[in-house]
This record gives sequence, C-alpha cells and structure tokens, in this order.
Amino acid sequence: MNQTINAFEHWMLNYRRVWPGTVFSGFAMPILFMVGIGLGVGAYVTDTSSIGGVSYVAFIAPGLLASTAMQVTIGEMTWPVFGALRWGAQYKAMQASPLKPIHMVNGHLMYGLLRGLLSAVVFLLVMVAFGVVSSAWAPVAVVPAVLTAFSLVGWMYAYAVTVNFEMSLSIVQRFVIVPITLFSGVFFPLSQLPQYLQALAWISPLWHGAELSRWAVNGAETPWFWGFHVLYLVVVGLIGWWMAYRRLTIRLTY
Amino acid sequence: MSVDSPLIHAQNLVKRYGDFVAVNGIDLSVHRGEAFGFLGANGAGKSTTMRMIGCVSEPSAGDLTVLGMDTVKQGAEIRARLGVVPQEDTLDTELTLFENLVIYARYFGIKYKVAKARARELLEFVQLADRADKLVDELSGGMKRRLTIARALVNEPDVVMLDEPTTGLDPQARHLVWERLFQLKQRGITIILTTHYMDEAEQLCDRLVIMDAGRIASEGSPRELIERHVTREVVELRFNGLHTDDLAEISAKLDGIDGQVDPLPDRILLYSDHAETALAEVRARGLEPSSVLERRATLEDVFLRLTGRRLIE
Repeated sequence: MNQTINAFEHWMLNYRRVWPGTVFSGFAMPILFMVGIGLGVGAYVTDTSSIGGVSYVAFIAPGLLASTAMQVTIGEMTWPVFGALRWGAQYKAMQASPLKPIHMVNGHLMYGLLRGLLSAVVFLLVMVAFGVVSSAWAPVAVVPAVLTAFSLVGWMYAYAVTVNFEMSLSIVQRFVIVPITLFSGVFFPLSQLPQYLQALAWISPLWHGAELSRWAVNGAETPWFWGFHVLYLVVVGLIGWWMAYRRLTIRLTY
Repeated sequence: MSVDSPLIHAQNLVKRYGDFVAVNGIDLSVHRGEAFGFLGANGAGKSTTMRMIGCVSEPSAGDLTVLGMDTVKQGAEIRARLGVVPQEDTLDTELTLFENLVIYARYFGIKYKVAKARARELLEFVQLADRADKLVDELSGGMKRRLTIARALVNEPDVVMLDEPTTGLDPQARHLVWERLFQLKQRGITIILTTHYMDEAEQLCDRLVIMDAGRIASEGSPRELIERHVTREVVELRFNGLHTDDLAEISAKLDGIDGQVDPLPDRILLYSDHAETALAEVRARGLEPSSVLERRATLEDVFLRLTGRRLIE
C-alpha cells in the first residue's frame, strides 16, 4: 500500500502545477450543463410524469454528477497515461526503483479516481446552488459517481497502455464514451428507448451509476435492487483493474 | 553473503528478442568497490546486459545474481540498493530539480524529511544547488546528466550503474561528470558503466570487458588488455597525404618487420614493443614517412583490434 502511495504522489505533484485550471473547469462544466440543458431544454419538458414528477433539471442533475466523475477519471486515463509511457519519463524512472507494476498501476488509477471524486464533490456544490438538492442523503450520490468512474478506469488505462496510435484514444472517446454518456438514462429515462436498446444500455456502467445517484438525490427507487447495481459496477471495475495490471506488466517487461 | 563473494555474478547469461540474440552467453563477476566497464560499439549488448543487472529485463537463459540475490525473483529488493543512470535521462521535465530528487526518493520509501535533506546535499555535490527550483526543461544536456547522477544517489546505493554517462556532452561537462564519478569511487561505491569512449574507460575503470556482437571479446584491466592484445607502443606513420591503396602498398613493403603493421585510410599504424628499432627498420627499407608519431598504445587500439573496423549498426 505504501508503495502505491509513493507512485500516486508523483501524479499529485504533477497535478499541483495544473490544479487551478481544473478547478475552474470543474465548476464551469456543470454550470454550463445545468443551464444549457437542464434549464434550456428543460423549459420544453412540461409533462414530468415519466421522470418521477421532478423538474427536468432535477432529473438530469444526479445522472450528470455520475457522468462527470466518470468522464474526468477516464480523461485522466487517456493521453496522460499514453504519454507518460511513451513521451514522459515517470514510468521509466519508476522501473529503476523498487516499485513494481502493481504499485504503478494502482498509484495512477488512484490518482484518476481522486480526480473523479473531486469533480463529483464540485458538481454536488453546483447542484446545491441550483436548488435541485432537497434530501440530506444527496451527498451519498458521490459514492455511485466514484463507483461509475471505478468501473471504467482500469479499462481505459489498459487501452491507453496497449494502443500504439494517439488516434485510438480519440476513437474511444467519440465512439464509446460519448454514446455511453448519451444513452445511459442521464438525459432521458431508458423507457424512451426501444426494448433492444434498453437491454444494451443495461451494459453501460453509467446507467447503473446514474440510477443509484438519482436514488440518493431524488429518492427515486432504483429499477433493480440497489445492491445489484453496486455489484455490477464493482465487478466490471475489478475486471478492468486486472486488465490494467496485465497490460502494464506486459508493456514494461521486455 | 561473504565479503569476497562477487557483488554481481553472471553465468552464461543470454538475452534473446525473438530470433535476435542481444547477449550471447556471457560470464562475469564484479567485486565490491570495483569500477567495472562494458566497452563496445552500439548494439554490442552492453545496455541489454545493464538492463538485466538493473532488474528491468529478465534474462532469457543463464544465472544472474546481484548483491547475492536472484534478479528475477528479488528484483525489487535489488533495485532498492541500486542507483541507475539510464542512457536517456528519465527526469520529469515539468518538475523542478529539487522535486525530481525528492519524488524519486519517495519511490524508495525514503521519508520526506530525509529525502529533502539528501536532495539539497546531492544538488550541491553535482554543482546544481543554485538551480534547485528551476524546471528541468531549462537545463542543458550536461546539467541533466549531473541531475540524473544525483538522483541515482538519493537512495545511498551500494552499486551505481551508468549507461553511457557522458555520451553527447561537451568536454567540460564530461570532465565534471568524470570527476564526480571518481569521487564516488573513492568513497568505495561500486560503479558499473558502459561506454564507447576509450578514454572514459581508461580513466574510470579498474577492470572492463570488451563486448562485441553479444559476447565478451576480452576482459581485464585497461593495462592488461593493452599488453595482451597490442604492443606497448604504437608508431603512426604518414606519407605526404598518400592514402588507402598507396598505403596498402607501402605496408606490404614493411612485411616481416619487428611489430604488426596496420594500414588505415590516412596513415599506417605500426605496433611494436621497440618503436625506435622498428622505425629504424622502416627507414632502412628506403621509406621516408613525412610525419612520425610515437605514442603509448591505448584501449582504442585494443578495441579496434578485437572488434575490427566494421561499422556495427
């Protein structure tokens, strides 16, 4: 554990140089979403019976919270990981030390998850400012947000470690992350989709995370037993974590 | 581990990458306090051997122990006691010099307080203390090299490994690096280095191996190697700008002389233990060189003799 922390510290030291910018965007992005989509598009949503009787902005906010944590964490696992292994020296330097691949993976994933956690907290503050938080349980929504980030963090890391071209990173952002964001019941309930697409959306970790988050914030009952949603996120995350470990070990052994 | 057992011991060490054999069955022992060198052209297998000793690359075959431990099974324990200066600097260019040393010390589990104190001390040692808070990006090549050396010392290693420590540096920077390495040697730290500079090997190494195509071509102290493979003295003969074919023709006339004759494109080398007599013999055969340079044989002569003059890429 100590050695994981040692690796983690390097990413934190790098982060110290850029944190003011990330705090700004951490507040700006949620505000833009809440105003542009929550209030802007929300003005056209008059029949709220299918979204649990809450205002549209209140409906999307918990889902956006989970989605933002996921995106921030995933973002840290794209170019930063790809670059650190190819252009940067952090991994090469760590290799000469007593740190093992497992510590390097865990340290980097931990950093990515911390970034996701921080953005979830910021998002929650923005939600409070927009008056869409009424329950004292709302802060609990940070947990499914981080779980959503966890479910995919290892997968993205493994992918960034493995691919040889930068373009592969843009491809996964556009054709995997964006569809996940759009079709996971964040902006509209899954019941709006045809049956076969609904089944597809069940695979998406964000759907499970968004439903859990909505349960915490709005008290909206989860579609399935809550424990199952949590279990799904944990299992998908553990498989990804194992992949990340394997891919890095292969990459560093030659 | 007993006092006189070798610090590094390799037996029939092999490294293959697919069909390519980078290191082809080498044996070596390095003892505590020694400065040991790997000399060889690019691609001779020096860096690959260093990577195996540094426990970042696993041998394909053979045995390798460092500090009495197995490099495959106890890699992390060994690395904890090594100081590594890789061929290409692996500094974090977005951090300051000071931060680079401290964060690297943290990889070794060294406490912040100790890490900071050592970082200050080491920056002093490599004459970079005045730049402690500058970003690495702003350093020259020689300064980066010195910083990398300082970083390799942050865990107070038993063995310091340097892969081509002065390649690409200007003469002043090289001399400063040499001087610092010499000081480490005085402190009794075991030094292992690779180089393709003969003067570097002669200056720093107590003992060295010459590698060629993945094998050890010869082993010994710089003096021993010179005595074994070439003569004590070398005479360089030039003939008024004559070159290549003309020189080959002239050297044919020197057949049977006391010493070995080696025509180069621009001069003829005459290896002999008795330079004066050999030179008299040259003149006796009616040859009048336009310039004559008598010098001591160097490792470069040994190296060229053992590995040939072909360019290995």
